[in-house]
Amino acid sequence: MHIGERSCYLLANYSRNMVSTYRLQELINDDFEIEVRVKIDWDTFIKSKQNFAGIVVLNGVHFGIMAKIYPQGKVISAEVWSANRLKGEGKWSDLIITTATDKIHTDVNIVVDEDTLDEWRTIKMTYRKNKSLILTTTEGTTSKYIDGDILNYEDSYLWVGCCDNHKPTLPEFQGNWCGDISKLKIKGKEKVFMDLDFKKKTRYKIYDESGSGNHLIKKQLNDEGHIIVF
Amino acid sequence: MVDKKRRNDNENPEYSEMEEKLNNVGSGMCLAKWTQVTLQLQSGHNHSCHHPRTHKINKTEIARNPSALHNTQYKKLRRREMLTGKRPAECDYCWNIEDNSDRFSDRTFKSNESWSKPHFDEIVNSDWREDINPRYVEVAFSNACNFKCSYCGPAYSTTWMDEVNKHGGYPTTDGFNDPQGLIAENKVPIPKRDPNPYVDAFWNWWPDLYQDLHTFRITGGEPLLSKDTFKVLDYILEHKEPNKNLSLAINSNLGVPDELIDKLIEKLKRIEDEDRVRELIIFTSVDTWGEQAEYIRNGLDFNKFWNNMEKILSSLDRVVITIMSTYNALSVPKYHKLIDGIYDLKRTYASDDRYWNSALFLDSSYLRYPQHQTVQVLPNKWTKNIFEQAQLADFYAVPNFDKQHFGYSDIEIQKLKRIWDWRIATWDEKEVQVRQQRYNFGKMFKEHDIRRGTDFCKTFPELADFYNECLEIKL
Repeated sequence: MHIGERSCYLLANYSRNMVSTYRLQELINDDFEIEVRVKIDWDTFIKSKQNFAGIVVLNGVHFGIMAKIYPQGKVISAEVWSANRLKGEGKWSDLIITTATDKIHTDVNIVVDEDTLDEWRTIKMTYRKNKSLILTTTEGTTSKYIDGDILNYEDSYLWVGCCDNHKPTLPEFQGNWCGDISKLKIKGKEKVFMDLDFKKKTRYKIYDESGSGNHLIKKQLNDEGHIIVF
Repeated sequence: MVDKKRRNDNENPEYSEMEEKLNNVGSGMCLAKWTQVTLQLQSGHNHSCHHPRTHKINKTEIARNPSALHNTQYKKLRRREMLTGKRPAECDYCWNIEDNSDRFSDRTFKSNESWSKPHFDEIVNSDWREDINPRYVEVAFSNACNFKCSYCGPAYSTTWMDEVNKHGGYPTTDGFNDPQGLIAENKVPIPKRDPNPYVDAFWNWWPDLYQDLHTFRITGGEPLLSKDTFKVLDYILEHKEPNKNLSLAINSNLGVPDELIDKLIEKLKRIEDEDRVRELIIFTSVDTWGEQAEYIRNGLDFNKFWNNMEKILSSLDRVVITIMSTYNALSVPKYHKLIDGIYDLKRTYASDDRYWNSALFLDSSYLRYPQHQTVQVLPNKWTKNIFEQAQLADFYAVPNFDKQHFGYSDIEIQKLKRIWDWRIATWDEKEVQVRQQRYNFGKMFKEHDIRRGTDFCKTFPELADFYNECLEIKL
């Protein structure tokens, strides 16, 4: 399924009709993993002059899988923010797959060929609560310890195809993504949170096969420009 | 009594205001006692609001005053109670809610309806003896029906009446549908061939009633088998000054001969084209999918039913169909297919010409009686299926209840969710009651198969083990 032209999807942190059996707050308060299969439209991304775009992201300070453009090359990243209370500072933990042969800012890169990054690719981000982040893709696995406890993401929505499309978010921070997506599976420690193959869908929702009732919602705005959760 | 200040009035300012107005008249005041009536003309019963039991209409009263079909002496005494600060005992459904929760009861909702609210002053300033024309009228002209749905009975179906006259009630512990029950309640329907003074009174009253109506709904029996239904349509078609504010609703099982469906469509088409009513709604019923639906609603030809819905929706641009689904134990295995099927129809027939874009609505209510057929009798493993069906409807949800969208509204989803809520509810003695109802379930459907030539286990292979276990229960 193609995502672009600001047609992003979301899952809110509440269920309007109370039919979700596995809420987002419950997911992010423990270990979980996001596995997504995508083909990133890098040309459109570059033309958009954005530096980053959300593939599967919890909004706030971004937590999830993103696409980025660095001066050195194209990047796919998995990242989360934490707070080191002892040092009194926020810490950004990221892992990247990149076409840049020079290290960008971290020592845990997976370097791939330019052509390879343009193809369909499965990306998996594994989060161990307040401990580590692991990024797995065709070329291998890389991991990093998280410094401190992660920030509070309990009010976050899960976005697919952007970083955040809430009304107050300025366009340059929305991180709208463009590309194709064929699979998204999010698993908690013991059960599946969401399992989408993007085949069963309506004008407004993508069917969640997991049984958790977390059907992905296409972005719809009310008359005041706010996201409608339904 | 619960402290009313606990309620968040900001969320319901209209209801708070109405409740206060009603309470200023009296703590038992409810406009529905004046503005609403359900008439069961086949047995001469009525009630204003579906919560109190029906009461018998006096033949002598209607002979001199046909509006006594609604304005019975019995009801006027209840109105006097309401106007003098008393709470009629028959309305205890609402008193229970008001005394035990901070929620509004139905007397507030019904009094605030557009068919009640504008008449507040007229009603509270009237004498309790006065006659008034109701604005919301439901009428059953006859119990003639070609179906004998498993949870229905002889009061509403002549085919049921024929069966129990021949075979008696079912061998459940409560003697389900024993005709003696009707006799005890004075609800034996007047046979169709016999003169019916209640129907006669209705037609005497109708010319005066018609122009005052906000909503008129014909129920049954099967209304399309009653000539009175078509008489109503002809009256509307022939009237020089039709009541253009009328919301006209007709119930039908959509399982009658084709010529009756065609006749209905032809008349409704003219009513629609000549703009003679505000709104046209057809209420129909189906409780699950395919053969299993046919088993529950004996007489139903599922494919014909579905074709008739499509015929109506494709012929009548403004008609809306509401499917009243009586969700029962036998609905559970295949209800998801009904949810899918109805969504397909919503999508196919979505149109801006209709009052709502969705051309049809699924109104799922759980069966409460007979208890042996409610979802409570099923083993726990089926509870999950009910929840998944609410999740499926939620997948087909619309962002909001707006003309531009088609799909399931929050109300349709919530009504499904409510079935699950009720299914998981617990109460004292539940286990004992369920065991007895499982016993009755076995007795009911074993007898059903014998009398009607059906095969429960073949139709419901998913429930065959459960059914056989029910047959083993000894009380």
